[in-house]
Amino acid sequence: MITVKNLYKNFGENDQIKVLKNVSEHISKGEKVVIIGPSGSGKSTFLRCLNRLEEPSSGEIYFENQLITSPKSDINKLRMKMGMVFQHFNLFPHLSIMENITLGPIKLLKMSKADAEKRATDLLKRVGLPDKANAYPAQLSGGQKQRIAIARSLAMNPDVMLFDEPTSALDPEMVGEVLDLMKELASDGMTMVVVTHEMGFAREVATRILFMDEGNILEQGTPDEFFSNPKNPRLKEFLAKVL
Amino acid sequence: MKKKSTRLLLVAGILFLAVAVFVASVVTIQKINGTVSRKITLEEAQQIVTESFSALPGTVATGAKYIVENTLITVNDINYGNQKDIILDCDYTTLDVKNTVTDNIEKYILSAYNFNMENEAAGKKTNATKVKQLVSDEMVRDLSESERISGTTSLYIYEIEENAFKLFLSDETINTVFGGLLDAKNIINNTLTVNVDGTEISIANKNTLRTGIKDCVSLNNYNNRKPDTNIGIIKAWNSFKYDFHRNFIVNNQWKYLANGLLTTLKITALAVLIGIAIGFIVAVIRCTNQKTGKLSFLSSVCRLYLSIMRGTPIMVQLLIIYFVILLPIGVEKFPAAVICFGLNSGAYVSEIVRGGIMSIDAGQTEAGRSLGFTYMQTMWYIIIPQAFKAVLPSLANEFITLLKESSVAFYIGVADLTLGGLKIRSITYSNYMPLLAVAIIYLILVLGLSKCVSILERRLRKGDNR
Repeated sequence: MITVKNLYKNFGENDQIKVLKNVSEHISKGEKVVIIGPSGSGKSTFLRCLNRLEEPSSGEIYFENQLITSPKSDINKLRMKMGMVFQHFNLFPHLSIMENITLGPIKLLKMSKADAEKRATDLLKRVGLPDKANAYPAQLSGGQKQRIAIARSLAMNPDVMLFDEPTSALDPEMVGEVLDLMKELASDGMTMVVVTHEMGFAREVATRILFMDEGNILEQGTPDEFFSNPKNPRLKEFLAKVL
Repeated sequence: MKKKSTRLLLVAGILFLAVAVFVASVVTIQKINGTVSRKITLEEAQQIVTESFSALPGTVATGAKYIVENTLITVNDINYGNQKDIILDCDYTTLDVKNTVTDNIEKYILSAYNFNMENEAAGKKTNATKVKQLVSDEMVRDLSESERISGTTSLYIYEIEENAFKLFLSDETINTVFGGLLDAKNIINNTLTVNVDGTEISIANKNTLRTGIKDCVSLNNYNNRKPDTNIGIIKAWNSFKYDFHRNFIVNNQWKYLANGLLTTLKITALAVLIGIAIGFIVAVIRCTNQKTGKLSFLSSVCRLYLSIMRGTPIMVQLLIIYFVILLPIGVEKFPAAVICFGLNSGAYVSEIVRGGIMSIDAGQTEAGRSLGFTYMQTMWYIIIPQAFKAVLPSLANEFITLLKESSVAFYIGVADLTLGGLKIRSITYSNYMPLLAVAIIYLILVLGLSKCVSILERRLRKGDNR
């Protein structure tokens, strides 16, 4: 579904800061890929390159067999198929919850308002917040906001969901409700790429775990072999600290 | 909220009165009241009256001089008031001016008209003094044959300074003791056409002729306002009332201010709308350029526009936009002012809006783009509504600033509030009343609008926490 070939990403003047150094990866349909790694390892940048929120410096990314790194590709069309959930939720504060969820479907998918609201109502039920349709983001807790953000992405009916540290900005007691929703989403067969520090979630949900450090994928595998038998010394060190 | 704005108006009103009364009391400082410092004799009173009357027609021989010379005033009795006033009971005998002029006005007009025709035929210009001399001669002949009328009246003398007495002459008194002189003047003023053998002769457009005839019965300035002998504060109040009346009430002169205010508000409102439109367009272009590097040509144009508009005085901009650019292509003053202030305000609004757009969290753009919105759609649906809300108070303040700045519009002759004040000033030669009124109207507007802005700000803050 997503194929990344020789991806480089540099920042700063004269590209001095090299964040991604020759990353290649393939993610198949239905996979739940969890990316872990220390801060500054490039995992968020890698995720954000997948829908070109960060412009890759070089390399190729294919999504559903289309080269999305080419300037000719219509990135906006492709992004509709790739939902993204952010660490800081990024709900639109001037719109009600209902409007937050229906804005994309109405304006981009050209759905009628009634259809979009019907879909939104279903999604609100699914994320467990059916009574919040007319509330505004400022009235919600962090966990509720993130669930709405997930519903907003799902409203576009994406083929893949990208999660960028979705629980990092939450109070500990609210992490559970978001992770539960993500687990539910995973069991429904959604293709997911998740950057997170939640090792429990990785162990339970991931079909594959990638460990990134200093702009490279150092090791990957199923949760079992990844946690029980890590090979890379850097990964061993990392797991020793976080587990 | 209604209660508050009423209170604001009340405060402004009291402020207005206080300042005006203060200024008025400074303007006319005079001694405090009481009775006169000494009593005067009948001879003295008679002398004051005679001298005052003989000064009325001036030195040049006219009909008026003849009338005054043939009017006899005799002081019979003296009474004293307690406001430094002396009341004289007088007898008068005078000429029947009103009826004489009424009977002969057509003749005067005709001879003035013929005089003018002769001059025109000879290629000479007719001046008012010549007309006055001609008509005065005729009038004096008619008056000498007129009946004499007599009666009694009261004249007032005031002690305006210690041991300085002055005769007070109102229009009414003048009209009475001179046999209807002012009525005669009105008749001259209102008679515009004469019927001669079935043809109508009109001097409606010949001001020289009418002025000439009118001058025959014109007197020098006499004080038609009672000397003010009250105590300071009452005197100031009287003076204020009098000035207020003659600046705003007479001939409905307040309408200059009302219409000017309306024009000022119209200019400001339209200019702010243009400013907001331009401001948002410029801000979006510059932000787009800043974030994506696109639209660099348009962005340079915008920067040029900004530096010109913010780097030159608005007065100069107004003069150039009207006289250099718009007047030659036939644009009126009002739209020119609106365009100029709109362009000027656009420059400031764009910086406000740019700040607003920049203040919106980058995550908002990312969320919009990740859903599949284009950059412009993200701007339109997500960033601009939030930025607009964020800068609304600043925009309202810009409106207030513009309201004040629009006062330079009078420079190209737009009849705004400031010009309304200047117009009244040029009619009454009174400085403080019209200018103070203009200032206070601006002040009330600005205070009221500022209040609205702070209410708006509070509402918006509440909205964020709902």
